Amino acid sequence: MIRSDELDRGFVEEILAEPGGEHLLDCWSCGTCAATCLVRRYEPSFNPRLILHKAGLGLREEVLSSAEIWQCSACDACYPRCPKEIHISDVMKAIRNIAIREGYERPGVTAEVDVSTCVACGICSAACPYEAISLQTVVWQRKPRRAAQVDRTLCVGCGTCNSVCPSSSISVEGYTDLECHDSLVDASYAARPPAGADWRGIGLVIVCDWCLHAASDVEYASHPPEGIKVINVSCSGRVTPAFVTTALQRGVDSVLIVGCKEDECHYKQGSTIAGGRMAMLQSFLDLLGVERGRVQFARLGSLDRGKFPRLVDKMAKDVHALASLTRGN
Amino acid sequence: MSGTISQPAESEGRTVDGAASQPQEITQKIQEEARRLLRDDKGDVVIGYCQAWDDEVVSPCFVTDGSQVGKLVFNEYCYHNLARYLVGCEGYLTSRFRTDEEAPRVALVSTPATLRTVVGLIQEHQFERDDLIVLGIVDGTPVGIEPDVTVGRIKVDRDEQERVSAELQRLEMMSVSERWDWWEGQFSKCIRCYACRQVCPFCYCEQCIAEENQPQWIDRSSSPQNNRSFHIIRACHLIGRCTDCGACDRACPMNIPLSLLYGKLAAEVQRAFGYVAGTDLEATPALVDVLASESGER
Repeated sequence: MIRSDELDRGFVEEILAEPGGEHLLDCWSCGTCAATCLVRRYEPSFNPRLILHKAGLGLREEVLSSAEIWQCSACDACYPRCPKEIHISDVMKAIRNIAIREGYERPGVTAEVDVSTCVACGICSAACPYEAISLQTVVWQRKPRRAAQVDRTLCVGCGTCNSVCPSSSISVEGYTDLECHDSLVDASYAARPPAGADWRGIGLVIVCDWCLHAASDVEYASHPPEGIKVINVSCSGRVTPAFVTTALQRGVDSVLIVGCKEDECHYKQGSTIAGGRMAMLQSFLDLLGVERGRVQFARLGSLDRGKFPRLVDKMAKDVHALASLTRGN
Repeated sequence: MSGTISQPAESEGRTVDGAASQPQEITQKIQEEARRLLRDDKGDVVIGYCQAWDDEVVSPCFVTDGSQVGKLVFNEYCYHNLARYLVGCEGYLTSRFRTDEEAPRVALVSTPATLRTVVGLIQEHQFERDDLIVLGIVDGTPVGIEPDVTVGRIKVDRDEQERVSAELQRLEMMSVSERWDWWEGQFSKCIRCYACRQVCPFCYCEQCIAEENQPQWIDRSSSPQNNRSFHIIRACHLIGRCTDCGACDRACPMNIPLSLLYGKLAAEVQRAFGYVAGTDLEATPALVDVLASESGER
């Protein structure tokens, strides 16, 4: 029950005064944001409409202590759809800023740096979509040393930093190098034809957690055609060339990486990074005599329902032709 | 010395073919500068080249005492990338291990490729521009850094550039399976000595992915497939960073034409992003992924 004498008008004023929070009270509570929100698929309790409504009422304690205010990844899928043109991720950021000032901490996983191997090159901080990483002097084995440090209040755990780190010194729990490597190897073996099967050729689909929008696509991903295995990563920007070489070396004939459309990336620029990286890898592997069809990159937008099964079916067909070309890789 | 990067047209005009200095003049200038730096206590060590066991062999040389300055030489065999000695665990300048008080004042004899490497290392926060005294030898190609002292001018090594691009063209004319077989022959020679990595100034990580075993992305044993994985992954770590100095190519005891791999990648980066590694000090650390995120739509 909400009691009117518990509402804190000062909290509302505070949000309105915070950069980004100006449009809090414009909200109609229509729920369009919640309907388009990608986070809700994984975090059903996350509801931007509800957060804005509670904040607008002035439920200070309830809003600031909730885990939900930290779950928005600022993909801004809701922004163009909001009839009142509220930049909801900015409002969320304003609320977070207040929470940080009052000493609340972000729950959940963020990137962690292994200071003992970090070489302080700053590549992760340049690649981070959220500007959460900076180079700082830390004490390690009683000596000062420069290393990357993650601002836990800004990091959302996309893993882009991990994929660009030359010394494998930064990782996000759930998608660490070890976990990704193991799921790649397991899938590569699991996709192999059983004894006596009349088909050859196996394919691996590495799909970003956020790009399958329709329930039927998600269902299809868990029951792909024979010889195809689907594994998940946090973002297509997490996929490194090492993923591809590992799969190819384990007998996979073709690797398909699926990410979001560039302006729909859940982590701002992860899929842009993946696009550039995969194009470069394709032409490089081409020089080394690996057919271009063996490594493919595709993008799915929120309106591309049903495209994923078509992509995978095509891959399943092509993979048999590629299998006959395999020269022991 | 340098790969297939085609230089912008305007640099052609600045190429000082006619004004190239004689090796003796450069040697003299280097010695002069080194003597001055050590005498005036402006520098603690001068990294340069000295004559080794043969007329055609030089080796790196670290001069800390004014009386040793006469050892420094420069000739056409001085192509080693001396920036290697600035970074890494034992590097003179690796900023992550030292405090400002104990930083040695280093002067580095730098060929154009070394100058580009220095730019790359500054971009990657390994040291600051002011930490290093650059004794530069320029050839008119863009290097993104102004040497503190220009000790000489040399000609652009066009022969090597042409050799690499001709070889790349020949490879690209082949069919995919011929290319595979050709590289299979090259990679089967690799003994995984990691000389290419040890000599590379950008391979300054203490923990290399090639030796990591949790997870083991690259199997340790030497086989054509494992070697192929190693070279692909190493090359991908250097996209947009490699300044094409050719050090790995020359260091390889098995004569694997590594400059083809890096020349190809440098050409691709230039085509896709208009970027030549080491020509812009203000650029962010330039792994291709960062370039991709900055240029947006490709």
